[in-house]
Amino acid sequence: MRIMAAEANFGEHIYELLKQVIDPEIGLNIVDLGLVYQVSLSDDKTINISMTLTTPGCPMGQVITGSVTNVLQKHYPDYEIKVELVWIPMWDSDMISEAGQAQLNGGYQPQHRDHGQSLWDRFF
Amino acid sequence: MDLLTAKPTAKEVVLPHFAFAAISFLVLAILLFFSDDALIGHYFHPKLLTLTHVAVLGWATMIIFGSLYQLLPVILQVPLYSSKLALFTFGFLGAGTILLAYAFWTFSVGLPLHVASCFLVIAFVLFNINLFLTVRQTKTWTIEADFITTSGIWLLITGIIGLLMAFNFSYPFLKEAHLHYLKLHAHVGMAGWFLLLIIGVGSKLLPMFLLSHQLPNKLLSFSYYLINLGLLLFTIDHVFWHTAYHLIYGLAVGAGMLLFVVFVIQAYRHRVRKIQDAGMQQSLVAIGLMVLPVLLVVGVSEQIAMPEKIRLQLYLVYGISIFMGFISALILGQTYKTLPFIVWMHRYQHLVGKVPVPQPKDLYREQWVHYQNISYSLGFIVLLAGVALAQPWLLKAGSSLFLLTALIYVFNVFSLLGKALQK
Repeated sequence: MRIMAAEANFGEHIYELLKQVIDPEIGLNIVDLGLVYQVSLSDDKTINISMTLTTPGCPMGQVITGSVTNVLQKHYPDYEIKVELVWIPMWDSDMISEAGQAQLNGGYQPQHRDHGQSLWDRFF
Repeated sequence: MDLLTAKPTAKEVVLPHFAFAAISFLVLAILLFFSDDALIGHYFHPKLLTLTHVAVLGWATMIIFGSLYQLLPVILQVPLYSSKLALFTFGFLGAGTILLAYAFWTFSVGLPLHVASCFLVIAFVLFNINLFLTVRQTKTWTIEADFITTSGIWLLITGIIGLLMAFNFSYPFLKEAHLHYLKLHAHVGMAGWFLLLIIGVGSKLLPMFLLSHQLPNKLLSFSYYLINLGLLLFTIDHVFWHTAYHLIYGLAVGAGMLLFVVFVIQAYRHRVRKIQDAGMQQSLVAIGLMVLPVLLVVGVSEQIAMPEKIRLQLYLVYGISIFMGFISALILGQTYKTLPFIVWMHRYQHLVGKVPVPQPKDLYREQWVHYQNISYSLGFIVLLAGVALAQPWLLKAGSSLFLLTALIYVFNVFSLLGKALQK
């Protein structure tokens, strides 16, 4: 889900910078992983990042949010960086971009949406 | 910032547990290598008592304590209540384990055994206090919290039974024979502490590493109630009723284990990552190995007639299938899913986004983990066959492979710990 900032080029640049932030467990950048929901710029020179994690309580949560701040602060030292973690909508593997699927360590396993049809699924 | 991530525990609290556990695993493998004579006899043998307690306390409980201090903030989304309490617990558990191993190996059942048992119970009390005060901070109570909290209580009960048995050696006061309470002590420890804890932590971590979502929690709920019901009835029966229904209680616990296996299969079917790394491969092997003791419990329940010599061998196979089977396999695998991240977070977290940094998987050689997995799997199969067939040469071959596994593991763990200490 990508809702762009008013200044399109600025927003694109932010997304490009955020691709430097890698989820250490998954080995994918947070943009292609689909963790970044919204990027916006406030009038008071604040860059707002609305993002999620693959699961609440993700052990890498502080690392990832800290990295987002570090990366943006390095390129925009005059701006304030605000990172907000949100849980609605919950992250889902469908949010991984095609580029992300191709880069995933161990390969990407497509999700079968027809679960529920097999004997196993009827029991469990 | 709306963070659903609690402050991580300091590395000074967590890492000593990994170091102690890795050395214990090596000591265990060395002792095993020199104990093939004990593996062809009765399970109540000084060498086997030493091996078992080094395995369950120095190896498994120690690494579980250390991992839990790191993982509780992840699972419960609250910080650990007290790091100081955790360090005191480490001291008592470490000292208690070393003294207990000495007491059993030399069969000094007097003062050394009494002091060791007291140290261990103190460690378990402190651990429970820390666990309880951590858990009570959580805002959303989950089934994982149920599993973990209950496992702590069973650990304390296991320790208290052990303490009573230790004093009973010198000052006999228990009504029944020692072996009667040994069965209770062993099963409460295995099913109450290890099993519940492993399910509680595994049900959170395994789907997280597989990137699986929307899994059926009802399987975990049924698993929780079946295991606790079976164990509670077994305990009451063993102490008071003395009926012949042990197999039913065992099957209730076994059914709970199998429901967890089904849960993990569900997680695997819904995984996003197609091929797993060496750590996860080993962990999934461990989950498969959980089926083995469930099958063997029928044999050791004394419902099936068989010569006593065969039953004694079956007891040993049953015990090894648990301690050296799924518990050790899961620890061996999950070490590589936790320790590299702990080391990485403490060494590189502040540098991310400022300078290029390696990834956690770059901190160890995965190929060596593959070798470790192979030597472990072969060692486990050969050792189990050696015990089942009472063949000394098979036991020597199996314990040699375990020693090789331990050497690779210790090398990997200490390489990682060394990186954590580098400036």
